[in-house]
Amino acid sequence: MTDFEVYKSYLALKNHFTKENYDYHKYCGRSRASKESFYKRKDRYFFERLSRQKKDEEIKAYFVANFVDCSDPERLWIGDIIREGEDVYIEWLKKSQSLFYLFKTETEIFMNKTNFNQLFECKTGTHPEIIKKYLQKGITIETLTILDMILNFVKDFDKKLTDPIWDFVSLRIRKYESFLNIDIEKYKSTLKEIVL
Amino acid sequence: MSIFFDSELVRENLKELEEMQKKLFQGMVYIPFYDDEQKKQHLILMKDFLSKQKLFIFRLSLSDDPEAIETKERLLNSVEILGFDKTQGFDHFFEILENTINGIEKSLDY
Repeated sequence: MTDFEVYKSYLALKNHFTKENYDYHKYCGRSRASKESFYKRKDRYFFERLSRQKKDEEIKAYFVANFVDCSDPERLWIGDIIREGEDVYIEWLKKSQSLFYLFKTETEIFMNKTNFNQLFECKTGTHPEIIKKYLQKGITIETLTILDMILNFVKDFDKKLTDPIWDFVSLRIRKYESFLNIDIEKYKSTLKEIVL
Repeated sequence: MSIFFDSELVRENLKELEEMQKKLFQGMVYIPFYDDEQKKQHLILMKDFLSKQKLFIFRLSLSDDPEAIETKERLLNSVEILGFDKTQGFDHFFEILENTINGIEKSLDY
């Protein structure tokens, strides 16, 4: 990738994680950006450095890792990525390489036969226990997203919760799903073993 | 001393398989970020890895070295852990893997 292409990937992935109607995969990572405006940017050296240091797929994964980890992708500035981006990416890589273990360990800790339904119980205006766990950093976004891929609870919560925090978590889960490369059946049977 | 595992050819095969496996494992994380060409290359590597594994196991099966026999038995037990019937041997296992890879290849439609 050239530095400009790295910049376009950054914009496309930012759009993916912040805009309801933009799908990175559907639009094949396309974004509206002009070379002229790019070369006027003071931070363009960052994109140039990334284009030299990382392979194409690593660059995309690097941005996904940072958008998923930050508190608000809309307000994630290049300066933040320059400061913490590499550490965030390495952490994401570690999690991704042991995703099944991570999921199994996290679900085993807080899920069992008796509390399973309670965790996903959603009353209007109150965050379900599972979401509270995530907001308290008790489980990772990866485990929460995989749980939704299995149980499809986000749709139901969307009907009952209207607060900005839930909107934000809902968007993050839905947008992250397409970047998790997993054998869903394997995770489903593990979850069954834990809760049944 | 193991006649089978001390053979230079076998050692080279094992080293090659290890490197391929490492490459495949590292690539797994990046699959959602690959373009069609990269996905195609990843599948080619998987197919190549599978055929080299098949060849290695065939070679292993022909050996009467006790360590080779023991390794074959251990591999069969691993196949069983993965949910396959070990009485059907490796051929059935590889057939299923090949079918899965071919299915993915077709779904990519390149």
